[in-house]
Amino acid sequence: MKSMIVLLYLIFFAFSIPWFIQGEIDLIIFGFPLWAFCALCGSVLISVLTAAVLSRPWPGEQEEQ
Amino acid sequence: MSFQLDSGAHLVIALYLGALVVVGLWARRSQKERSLKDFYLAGKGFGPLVLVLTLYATQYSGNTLFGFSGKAYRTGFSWLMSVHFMTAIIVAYLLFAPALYKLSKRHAFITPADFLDHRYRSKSFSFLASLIMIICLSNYLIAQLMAMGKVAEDLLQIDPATAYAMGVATFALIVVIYETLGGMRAVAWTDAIQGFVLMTGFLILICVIFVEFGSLSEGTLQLLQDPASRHKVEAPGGSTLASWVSYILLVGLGGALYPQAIQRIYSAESGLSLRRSFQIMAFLPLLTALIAVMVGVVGAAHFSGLSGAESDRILIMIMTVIQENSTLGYWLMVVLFAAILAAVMSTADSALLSISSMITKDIYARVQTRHTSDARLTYIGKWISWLLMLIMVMLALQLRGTTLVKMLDRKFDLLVQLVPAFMIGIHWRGLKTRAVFAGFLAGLLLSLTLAICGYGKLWGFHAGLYGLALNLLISVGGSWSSSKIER
Repeated sequence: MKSMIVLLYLIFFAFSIPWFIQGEIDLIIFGFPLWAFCALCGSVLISVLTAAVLSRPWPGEQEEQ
Repeated sequence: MSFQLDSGAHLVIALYLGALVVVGLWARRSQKERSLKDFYLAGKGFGPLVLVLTLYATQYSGNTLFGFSGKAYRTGFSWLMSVHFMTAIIVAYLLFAPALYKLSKRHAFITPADFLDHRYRSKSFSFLASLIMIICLSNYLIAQLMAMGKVAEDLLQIDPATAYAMGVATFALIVVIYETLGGMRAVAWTDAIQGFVLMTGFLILICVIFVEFGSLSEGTLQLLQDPASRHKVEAPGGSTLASWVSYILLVGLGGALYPQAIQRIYSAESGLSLRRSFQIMAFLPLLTALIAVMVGVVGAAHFSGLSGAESDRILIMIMTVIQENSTLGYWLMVVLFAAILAAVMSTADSALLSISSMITKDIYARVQTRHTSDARLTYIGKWISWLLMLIMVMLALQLRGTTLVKMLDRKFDLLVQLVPAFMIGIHWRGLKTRAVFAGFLAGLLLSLTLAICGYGKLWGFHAGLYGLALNLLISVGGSWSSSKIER
């Protein structure tokens, strides 16, 4: 499970850095050029993944409660 | 061009500042005991709402509003990297916060160095680490004071240098008063108010900007049509992409190790509260850093020709235009102005409290040969806060005119050298004290040497990351090889 999460983070961070889109700007989405929109989507995915990871209790949390 | 407020708005802001002092008094009355734990960690009883607001108000500072919008003005959409590195801080917490929280409850930690003491049993290492954290936070505190000065330059219709000096001194005085009155409780409660004002301010800002200056699409097209500003919309090239990765690593790892953030981990009432607050924090860069980027981009489309420290004033220039156009716009800008103050003061108070705790507990208490009571240490800590603020105010006055983002980089170059000690050492018992200490020293030395020689960034990567690579090599490699020899 842990390696799956690490892998997802790597994929999302790689996607959020716009190394794969270069050249002329032919598409603007909500005011963002395509590459910036992709970067933003990557960021949203990272936030969602982080919130999901944090929804699982931490070790020792149930004893504390 | 300057942002002008009438006497009604001045009164609102004065009431707001007065309310912060009242909260400080209220927090003082709520103190349960005169101890370091109560003064610096509010008795370790913060629930999720106060935690998220205090973390938010602490993490998003004057630099986010002025520095980030200024940087986006200069570089355009590529400063979206700020959204990523602010998100990366929360990801980095996942690496060590659960274990650190558990240990802090068991061993009653107060400062970050308490963990280092407990884990590595080396007084010299925890002393040096504390010293580095104090230096980094002092840099941060100065940046906030400078931002306070910039705010006053636009608030007061007098000579800018005098307004700057008055702003730095007045806001610093208010912060130090409520901080020494109520300690962490006062800081977190005022942070909760300031965090709420800050969130509201950001939402108002983006709505008003679009109404006043047109949509983001219009601004983007305007930038594309001008050959001089076209690069602000175009996809970033090699060195910017390297810088993007570098910022994610440097700020993500370094930001999670802010001493004041570590102390908020200690002050959570439960693991559940901390988890819930981090869950919300994961989305806040989209509400804050992203809006600052959009402000910078819209500003670049409508105000050309600003450079360096001048471009950090783009937000104020935008606000000036909005307030001149309608009464509603004017009052919305007053709320935004309060949000700017909130951002700056909430970060300054947390930094001040954290530095004071480290000087008192990690330095002063250690050099004392005889036992000093907790109540006495708390009293000394308050005096340290006053003295420290005085020194910081003098430095902020000297540094007027330096750009804010430049100051951000150096702080993280140093903080990031604590990554092996906190993030690896908390999980891997095999990490040896000598190796981690040697790695820390080598990392500091390399990153400082590179920065001093003018290589703050080398091939797009920050000097601190080269230091961290060497640091990791020595601490992990050294621990591994010494374990092998022992076996």
